[in-house]
Amino acid sequence: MQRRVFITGVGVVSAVGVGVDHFWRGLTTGATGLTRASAEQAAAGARVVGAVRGFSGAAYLQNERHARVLNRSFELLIAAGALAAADAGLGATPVPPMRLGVIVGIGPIDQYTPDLIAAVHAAQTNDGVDPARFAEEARRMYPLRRLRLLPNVGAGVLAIEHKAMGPSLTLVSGHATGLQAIAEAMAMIHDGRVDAVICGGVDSRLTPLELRVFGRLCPVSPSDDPNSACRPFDRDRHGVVPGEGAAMLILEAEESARARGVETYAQLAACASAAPTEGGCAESMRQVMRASASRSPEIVVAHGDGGVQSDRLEAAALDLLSPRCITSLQPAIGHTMSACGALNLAAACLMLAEEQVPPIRSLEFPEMPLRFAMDPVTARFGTALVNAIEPDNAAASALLIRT
Amino acid sequence: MSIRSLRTRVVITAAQVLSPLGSSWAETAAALRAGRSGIGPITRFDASAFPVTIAGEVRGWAQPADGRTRIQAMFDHVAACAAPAITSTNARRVGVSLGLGKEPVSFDAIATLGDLDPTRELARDYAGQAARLASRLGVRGPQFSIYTACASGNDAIGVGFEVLRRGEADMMICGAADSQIAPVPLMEFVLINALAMPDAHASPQPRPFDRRRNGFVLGEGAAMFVLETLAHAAGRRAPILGEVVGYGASMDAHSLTRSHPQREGAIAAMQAALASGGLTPGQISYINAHGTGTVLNDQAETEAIHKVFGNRARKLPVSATKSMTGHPIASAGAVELAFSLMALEGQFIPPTLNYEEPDPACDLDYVPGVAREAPLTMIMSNAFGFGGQNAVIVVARFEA
Repeated sequence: MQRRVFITGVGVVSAVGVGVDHFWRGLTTGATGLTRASAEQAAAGARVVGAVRGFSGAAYLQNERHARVLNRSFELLIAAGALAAADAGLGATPVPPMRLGVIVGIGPIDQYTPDLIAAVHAAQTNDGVDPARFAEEARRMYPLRRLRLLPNVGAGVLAIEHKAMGPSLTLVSGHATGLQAIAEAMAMIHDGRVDAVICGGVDSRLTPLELRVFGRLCPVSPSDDPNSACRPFDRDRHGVVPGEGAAMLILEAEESARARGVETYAQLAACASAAPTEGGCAESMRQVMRASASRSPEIVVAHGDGGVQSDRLEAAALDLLSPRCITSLQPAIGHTMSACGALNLAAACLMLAEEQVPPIRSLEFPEMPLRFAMDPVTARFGTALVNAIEPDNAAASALLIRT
Repeated sequence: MSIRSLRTRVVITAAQVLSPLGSSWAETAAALRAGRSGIGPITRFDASAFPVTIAGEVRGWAQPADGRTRIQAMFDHVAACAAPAITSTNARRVGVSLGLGKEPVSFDAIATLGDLDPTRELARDYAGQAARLASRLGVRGPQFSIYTACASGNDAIGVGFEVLRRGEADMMICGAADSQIAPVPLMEFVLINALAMPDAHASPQPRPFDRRRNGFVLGEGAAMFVLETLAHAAGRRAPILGEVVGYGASMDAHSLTRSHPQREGAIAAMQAALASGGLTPGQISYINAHGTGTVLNDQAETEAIHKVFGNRARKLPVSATKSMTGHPIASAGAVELAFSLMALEGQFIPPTLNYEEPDPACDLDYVPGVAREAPLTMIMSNAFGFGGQNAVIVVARFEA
């Protein structure tokens, strides 16, 4: 018999709010976190973005030295991790360090920083970059630049901040990587390698260059209206709105949560992923539903990114499962890329606990007659399924059971 | 019944490596045994004015000029060893687990940043590499893209091993590739004082565990392995090169660049690797050390080995093959697992080159200068990385 795994802490940094209270209020009061993009972002193809505003991750550090290695993604990550750890009471009733792991799913980190660009430009001659000049100019680059650019340094800082000496992985797989991090964390707890894991996803790719790269992967919405740029499952949808954010969760074995006397949001019953194929999402959902007594999930927090093709495929897959209530966060926070699955799972925890499903705020004319949340739905739901889907239709799903 | 016999056994049935010691298995094994150095002047760009002018560049292989990044081309080269193991019937249960270096930024890209081609950036991105390789090989099982700095290779192999033990796949194609021998990363490593610099001694060389060590030398390389359950390997009568018997990982949770002062992280990873296979320290015949040649790493690793192996530590051969190859960063664990398979196959311990002046703080048997013939049954391979990452693999000679 496998150990049961619970979610005992949730930390969120999103365009609608930082911390679970603000995040939940943002999702349920109906104001979108999406805003008009800057002129540079718009020139790169994104006229609306889901940015986290007025935020500093360094404020969440216990050890201020580590501010020196924070890039934007790490800032979001460190804050989400600190919020999750506090929520789970890891400070007051710690998990033994060797039994606490860290698994982070993260997107690529922008390497084209001003210090590097300045060094290269200063070494530019009519015949290209002069290596000798560059070697000299490069000494003026930010000394800890290397550490700022390594994806795993975020997990390293989290481990130091929360005294986590168990196994750690940093996964860099793409848009499903946050959910994959959570799946690996669950497997590690099942295998008995750890008792709890700080896990989830983070991404921030809103510079003009990063937005142009994202536009090659996903069809970006041409709309400049924050209220209707992202319209998941609507017949008038026209693309994806890029966003940034982070969600970290504390996954914990049942006996550890009991011994620490902490409350749980939900039981994480199953995680699964599927290789790229048009039916990838149907396959990953089918696999996680095997862990449930019923055939149909009650809540689905869909990937629902507002892409014409991606939503059609996901809706067709959802139709096979007949869920009671389907929602999507993307009209509120945008496509948070490597963080999207973890943010969906964080939201699903709150929906089960608060007994309410926030609506898909921009949905007016559903393309398919599924049970989308057009208005807030209040009920005592028993299960929640979440999805994260890659541009190539590889998919990851997870299933939560109410506790 | 031992713990080990209850678990799914995981064997290695194919392997390939690309390193400064060569591009074929036989050539590399011969160089390893001969204690040949793969370090030389940097030829990939004009490094004459750089503070460091040497590196371990891959030998016997030329990167095809076909639009693939160097890292992609290296992955494809070593992954070819997996092709014969894949059939239309097993492909659904074959996954991929990769430790991914990131292709360095180029001067050209920075000069034309405003109209940089997004497809070039996507080719450099971590995401997509596992899917790309899976699609080339035609496999549809679980995919993992891992970056844990210098521990990436060991973690990629370890994750594949765990996935097989959990029964989530029958075969995992695991490995890593990295190449950071380029102007920008080289200067980034210089800025954090990681590289061996020219000093009063002769030419800078990697000198792991030697008193005069003062940093690592950049290397590059790739290695790929077919890991599969013993049942699956037996079912297709595959030749078995070795058995992965243990994987352990930990975090120092102390500093991003300096080892834990009490070595707790490295100790925990080695102990976890032993525990994962139900092994005792006495079963290990040799340690392929992380042994980078930096002042602090080598001392910390030595102390951690003392803690884990107790009285046996002084008799246990420990060598640093980075003395021959330089440090291939994210691919270190994978390249060094290939070396360990060669050591098991040829029953020899690769030497630590350039080890001439003992350091009182490093007091193990480092197998200086020349390879040593020895009966080897089980090898521990260490990898410790920036961020405080530790990952350890134990590989054994296969015995039915």
